[in-house]
Amino acid sequence: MVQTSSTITASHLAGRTGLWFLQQSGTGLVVLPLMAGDISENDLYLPVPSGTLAPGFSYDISAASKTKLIQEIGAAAQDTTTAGAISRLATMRVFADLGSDALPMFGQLTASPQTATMAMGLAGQIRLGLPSALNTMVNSNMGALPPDVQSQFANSVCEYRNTDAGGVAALGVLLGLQYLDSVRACATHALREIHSQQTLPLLEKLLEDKSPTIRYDAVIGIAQFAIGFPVARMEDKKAAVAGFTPGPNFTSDMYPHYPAMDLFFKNEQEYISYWKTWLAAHPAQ
Amino acid sequence: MKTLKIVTLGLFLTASWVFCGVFASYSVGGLLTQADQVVVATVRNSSSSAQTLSLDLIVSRTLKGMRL
Repeated sequence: MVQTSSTITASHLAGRTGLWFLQQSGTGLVVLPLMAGDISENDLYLPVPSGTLAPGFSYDISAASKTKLIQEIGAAAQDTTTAGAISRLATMRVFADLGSDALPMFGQLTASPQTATMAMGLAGQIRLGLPSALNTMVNSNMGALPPDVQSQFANSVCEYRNTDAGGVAALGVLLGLQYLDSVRACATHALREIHSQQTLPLLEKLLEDKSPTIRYDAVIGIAQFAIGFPVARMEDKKAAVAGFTPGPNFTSDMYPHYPAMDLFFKNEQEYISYWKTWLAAHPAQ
Repeated sequence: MKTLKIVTLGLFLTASWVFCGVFASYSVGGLLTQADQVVVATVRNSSSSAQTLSLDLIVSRTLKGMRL
């Protein structure tokens, strides 16, 4: 038995062009939508421009399906009629599992003269942990960019995972008060999840930040370093944590000072004080 | 360019009646693996009845599956 969502109107779909994922079901085909839940027509397919593919994104008929998919996404990201939708889907991590195979496509987008397209390429590279993309973003005049572009950058910074020294330094720059709160929060979150030796001085400073969420992420980042948590991309974290054993610095009193957010907010100073003391006792760390 | 007729759409909704909104997005790499046919197509006609949506798609490119 199948059901359609009450928010889908059949007549709205006529004339729309997109990339459709279809699965055999009996003698027919069933649409595999991009979203689950109470969805609209827009969530049934990946919007792509009608007509032939733009130069630079065409592909050979014998190419692998994944290559074709990446090229279609690139063409859609560059087309003004579909770029907004592709940007929204990128933020929702719909393209996350394409992995590094998508890097050339994102690189192509960064060369676009259109700011939104260029930003989408850069954000894609940042999500995949490319330090040079993070540095390009830092060196751009972010304040002059439209708010949606800044927001796209902030989201991608949240997902950045790379212990590369240049990238960590760039995250340090993004902690500056001249940046939007969302950018600072995401830079902190990235540092928390990278939690390398180099991030510690930055995280220690953030224990005094004006934002309680940033103070929390700073505590968690320092704790994850001390406990010896592995660094993992967002999609790999569950598996990384499952197979984890504490590192050589681990002591049994660390877990009680590795708080859930609600506990942290009830008694911030206990946690902050504990990790400040730990950092002072481990200067070589 | 061929027409792919009558694509029946099945969307299972959440069991909770108080739910409202999208609760998850899928990743395209996973959808690509799961799908038998992946096409670029334009909707020629669409209709709905008995909570089932039917589509006629005009296929312009095939990424996966039988070339249409």
